[in-house]
Amino acid sequence: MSDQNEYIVDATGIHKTYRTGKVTVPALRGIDLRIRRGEMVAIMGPSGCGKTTTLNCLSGLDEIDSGTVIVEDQVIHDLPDDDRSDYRARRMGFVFQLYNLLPVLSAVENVEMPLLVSGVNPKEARQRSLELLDQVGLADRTDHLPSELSGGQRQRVTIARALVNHPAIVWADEPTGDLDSESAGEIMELMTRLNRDSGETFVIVTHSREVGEIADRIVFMRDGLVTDDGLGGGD
Amino acid sequence: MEKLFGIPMPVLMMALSGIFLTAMLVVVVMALRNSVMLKMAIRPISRRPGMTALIIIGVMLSTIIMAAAFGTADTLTYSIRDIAVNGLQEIDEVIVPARAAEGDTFGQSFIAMDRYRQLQAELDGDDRIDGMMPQYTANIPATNPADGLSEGQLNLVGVDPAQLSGFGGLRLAAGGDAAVESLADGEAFINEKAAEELELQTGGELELYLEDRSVLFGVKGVLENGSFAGIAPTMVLSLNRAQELFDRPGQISSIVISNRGDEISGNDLSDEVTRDLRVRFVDREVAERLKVLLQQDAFIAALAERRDDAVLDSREKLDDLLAGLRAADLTDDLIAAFGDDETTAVMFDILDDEEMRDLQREAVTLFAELGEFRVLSIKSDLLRGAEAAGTGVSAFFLTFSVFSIGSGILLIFLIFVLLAGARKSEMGMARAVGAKRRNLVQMFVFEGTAYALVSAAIGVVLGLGVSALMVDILNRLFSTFDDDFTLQIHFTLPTIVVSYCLGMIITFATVAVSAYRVSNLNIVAAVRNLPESLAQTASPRLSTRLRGLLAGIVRPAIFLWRGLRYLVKLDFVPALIHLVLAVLWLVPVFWLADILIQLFRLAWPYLLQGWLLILIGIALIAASIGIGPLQLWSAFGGGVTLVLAGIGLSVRTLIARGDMSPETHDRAVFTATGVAILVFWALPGSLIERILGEIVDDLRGDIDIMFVSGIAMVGAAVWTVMYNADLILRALQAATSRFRQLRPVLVTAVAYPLSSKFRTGLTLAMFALVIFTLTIMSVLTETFGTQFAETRVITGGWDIEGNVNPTTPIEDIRSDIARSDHIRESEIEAIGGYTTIPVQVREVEGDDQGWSGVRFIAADDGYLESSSYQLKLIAEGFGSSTGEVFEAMRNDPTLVVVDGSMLDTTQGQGGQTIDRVFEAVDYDDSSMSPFRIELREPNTRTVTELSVVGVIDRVHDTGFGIGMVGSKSAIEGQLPFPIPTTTYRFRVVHAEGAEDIAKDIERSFLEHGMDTVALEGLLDEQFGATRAFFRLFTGFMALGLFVGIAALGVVSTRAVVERRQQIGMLRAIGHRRSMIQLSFMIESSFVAVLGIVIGTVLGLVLSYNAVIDIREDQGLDTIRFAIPWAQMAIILGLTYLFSLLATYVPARQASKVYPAEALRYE
Repeated sequence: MSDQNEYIVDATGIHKTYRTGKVTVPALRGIDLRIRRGEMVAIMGPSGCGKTTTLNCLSGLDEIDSGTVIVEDQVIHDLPDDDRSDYRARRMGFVFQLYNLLPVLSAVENVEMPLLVSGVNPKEARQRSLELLDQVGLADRTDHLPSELSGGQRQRVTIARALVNHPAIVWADEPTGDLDSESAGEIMELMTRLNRDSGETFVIVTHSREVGEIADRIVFMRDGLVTDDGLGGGD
Repeated sequence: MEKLFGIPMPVLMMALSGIFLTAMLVVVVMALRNSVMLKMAIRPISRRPGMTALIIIGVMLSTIIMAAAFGTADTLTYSIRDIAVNGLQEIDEVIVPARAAEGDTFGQSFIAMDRYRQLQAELDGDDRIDGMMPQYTANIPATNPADGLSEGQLNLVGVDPAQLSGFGGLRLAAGGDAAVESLADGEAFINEKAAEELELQTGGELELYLEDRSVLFGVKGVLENGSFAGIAPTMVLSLNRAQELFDRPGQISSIVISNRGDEISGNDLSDEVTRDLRVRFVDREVAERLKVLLQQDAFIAALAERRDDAVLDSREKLDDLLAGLRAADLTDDLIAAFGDDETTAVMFDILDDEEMRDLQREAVTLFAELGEFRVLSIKSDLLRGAEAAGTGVSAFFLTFSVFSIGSGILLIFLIFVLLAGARKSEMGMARAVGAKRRNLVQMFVFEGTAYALVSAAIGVVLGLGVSALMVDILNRLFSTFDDDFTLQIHFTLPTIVVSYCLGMIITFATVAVSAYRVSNLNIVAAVRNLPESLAQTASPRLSTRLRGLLAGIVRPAIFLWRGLRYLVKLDFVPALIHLVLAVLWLVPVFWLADILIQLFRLAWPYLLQGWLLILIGIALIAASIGIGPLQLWSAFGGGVTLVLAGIGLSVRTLIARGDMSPETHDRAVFTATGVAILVFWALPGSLIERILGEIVDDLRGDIDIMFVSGIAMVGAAVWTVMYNADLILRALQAATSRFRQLRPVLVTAVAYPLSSKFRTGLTLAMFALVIFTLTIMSVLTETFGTQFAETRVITGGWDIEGNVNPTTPIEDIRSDIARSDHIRESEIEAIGGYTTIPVQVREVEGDDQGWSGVRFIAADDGYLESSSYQLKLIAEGFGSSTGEVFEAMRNDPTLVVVDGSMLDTTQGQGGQTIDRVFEAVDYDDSSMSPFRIELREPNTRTVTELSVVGVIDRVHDTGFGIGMVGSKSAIEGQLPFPIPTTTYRFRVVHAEGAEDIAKDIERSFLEHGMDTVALEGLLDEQFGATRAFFRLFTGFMALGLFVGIAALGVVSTRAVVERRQQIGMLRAIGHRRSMIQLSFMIESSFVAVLGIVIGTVLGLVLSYNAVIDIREDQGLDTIRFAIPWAQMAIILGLTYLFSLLATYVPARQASKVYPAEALRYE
């Protein structure tokens, strides 16, 4: 396997500055980061160090000011907006701290949404979503609205939604940040199992040392720079 | 416009201004005391200019509608007043003979000059009268011989030049005074209108056609229109010359009075002068006998009842009448009341009762002998008419805009609920740090007041703009009919102030109620942005609710007590607020509303349980049937609706105790209830009458049905749809299954509106109610047009109608036509002539022996021979065709036929009942026997016995009321003068040439003042103008649609903010921008289309039923249910288009939401 194929994400020299009125805040100040296929990477660091911005820039949710992000051989920030959306629908999954489920849709409808966006047959989408919900232990909660689920259950639905289209990579931003320690443990166990079983790549932004310890590798950041990429690199 | 809802506008202006200023004072004081809340309220307004603009638009819609209605009424009142004031100038009253006498002619009676001089001497010292004019008037045909232009009805006015100064003289159009005394023989003045019609100028010649000769007059000058020169084509000459011309020396037609003061202030004395003149002309002895006759308890009791129901003006007159009848002596007020047309009409109406027959007979005789003259307060009557027209127009516009204004209020409520939603956590935090609930109410009241102040001002300006636009269109519409009457845009200060204050107060009140509602929040749920449903509290206990009711009843006293308490503590600001509130609460509207709200809160749990609703429904039904006080279809239907809803809620309460999930039983129960209510209202009234028989026989239906059925049907439909919308979603998904990319868009587009049932239901209802009214209006206008399709059927087989001047009748029209150079006799198939004479009739063997006024068509043989009226019923023994019946009428002048309106009790305008004239036969009967009637000529009181042998079909009533048709010989002997034929009808061989032949006939009979019209064209024009007016009115009502459209805009804009994170998430998982935008557009479309469909379908169902009922009840077989597809398509299409436009901007904003940013913030 070549170097290029070994790394599903290859980011170099990423700069990102936020501008709000007269105030400019440099969020990323030249990040280099590579992530291997099937790897579970945790990005850690103090608040405001640029963890979430890194995740957003690498996943194509946010624009970058300079640098290059290559995901699966695609220069992601060069793609037109629609192509980037399609790419996310087919090849990426997302898990967020606040779940970000659609409150008006049931658990199964939330899970099947990425499949429907990708144009999968509705029946097949429903079948796969039910299977995924079964895998995350919510077979008996498929028709519940998010407001009828606990925090841990909601996050499971989010994880099911992230994995339903067999993405190449799952981006998770503080997936356990809003959960009690028991639920957080369960969620991490679930993500580890899915990572192990399906071989999908997980990039997790977290404050939690416990989460970091479960990951294959920890990337440390400070002041918009990677201070330790867990491979012996970094500033 | 002088009055609104019976309240004079200046009084209303003062009252509303008072309420407005008081409310503002309270707000200002609250703001000064609580500047933090004021800042919290005002700051967000400038931070979101787009949303602020949208809110202002939404809030001002009700004001626009009201201001447009009031402005149009103002314009109408002013325009009619203008005609009255400019047309009459200083003329205030006219004295005319009360009875026809020997020597009079058809339509004209005279006064002797000696009698005038005597009166002049008697009134000489009366300083309230500054002018008195003996006047000779006639209506004659005239031509301009130079170019053949004619005027069939030229007013000839002879005036005494010596008396003109009392009326401000006559002025020449070219400037300067006109000297009537300087007119030589063969000279006359004409007015501007005559100059325009006949294209005559000073120095031109005018030919007049008198009964036996024609006379040439030179035009000495052209007078300004108005005063004695009038506004219709008029010529003015000296009184002596006019008397000579008609060979009536020493005779005048009327005496004209000018009151002291100018053309406007003179009217202030009109009531007084009219009253005194009436008193002067009355025979006191007859009046005394009349007083004694009417002093009976039953009559006075009936009069007192009428007095209580009367509007303000009439009430004052009836008060005078009642006081006079109760007084020991004969008072002048009573005599004046006897001479007043309005009070006389009320007295005759009361006397026209079975138990007062004897009284009536004597009263009729005494009234006829009461006085030699009638005093007409013409200016005052015209000005009152102008006020009534303005009031009527505003009431008409407001009545049909109720749904639009109501929707506007719902929109304001919706806006503030959404605003509260947006600031929920902020409000929660404020409460958490110690703000009281009333502080939150204050905050919203501050914000709402800011919006209301601005939006009501813009609303008034735009509303008056809409009114000006409508007036302009109306002027164009009616310019083809009457170019004398032009509406002049005019708005008065009271209208502007009332519109503003009303708009402002409605908004303010809605905001206050919304603020009270939204401030009731759970602090934790608000801070954490959790659904309120998770933190629901139990409803207040019975004792609390009872205390609330008690507090509502004594609220002013509570405010007063608190105010005094603060005062004692020298805390002046709260003392002032409470004292102001105590005064405000003494206004019945506020106090009563407070008590009703408390009563509603007390009853709320029982209403939810259903049983109380059933009881109220049963009470309503009971009140509407039998001898109940509310014999209205709307009350009956409303009662049934409440019972059905109550049953639904009761069942729900019962099954809620079982194992079924709330969703399942709510859905089952609400669907069944909604469908049941829909089915009930969708049934035609006639079918319900057949099923329930006599129970509902006496129920009356009026415009109120539209309101009650609209609310019931739309409510039930929205209710049903909201609980079954998943079926619609499934159907949509099935229909679009081929387009897989659409599926995720569709799922979210439908799921969101369905998840907010309140918000969606409210918006849906706004759309549906307005579309419902528009559909009914459009369909009924079109449907009534269908009866004009068969013109020849309606006109009884005639193509042309020609009216001649009664002073120059045609001797033998047939031979004149045969000799005419202008008309080819062969083109005319038939000619008939008749004269319409007002008569009184009663049935010889009827229970009701009162006389009823009807129109008698005194027809000549030609008319009876060639008319092809359809007869609904033919009496036994008179054949089976119209021809046979009319032939019998030709041979026997005692036979007549009558129209359907004389056989039914109908409802006139304003809900009063117009009693049937004859009881022997019903219009709906399948056969009839001849029955005898008596016909009385009202002037001579001679009575003739006739037989009714047929009933004219109602199809002929359209545009041409029929009355009673009989041979002219039947009445000829009853009048002391010959009856000239005034109307001719012609049937032509080729109907398409009718317009040209009509012109030829007019030209041939210029000297008789012939004025012709092609009936098909006339019907088309009449219906065209009516249809155009209703289309314009439909356009006005369509303003209400903007409420729904604005609601969609507001909801969408709010949704973009509310769902920012969710949009970010959707973008993260692969939704393209276009998909987000499409999702928002489909979401709005879902609500708009559903509203349009519900409103249209229900409107069509109700109008279809209405058409069936009208056909059955009125016997109008010729009307066909017709849908104006093109008009409907335009209305509905534009509504949908505007809905999309209103959503486009927020949808575009949503599509631009940047996923990373949206996901970063809560």
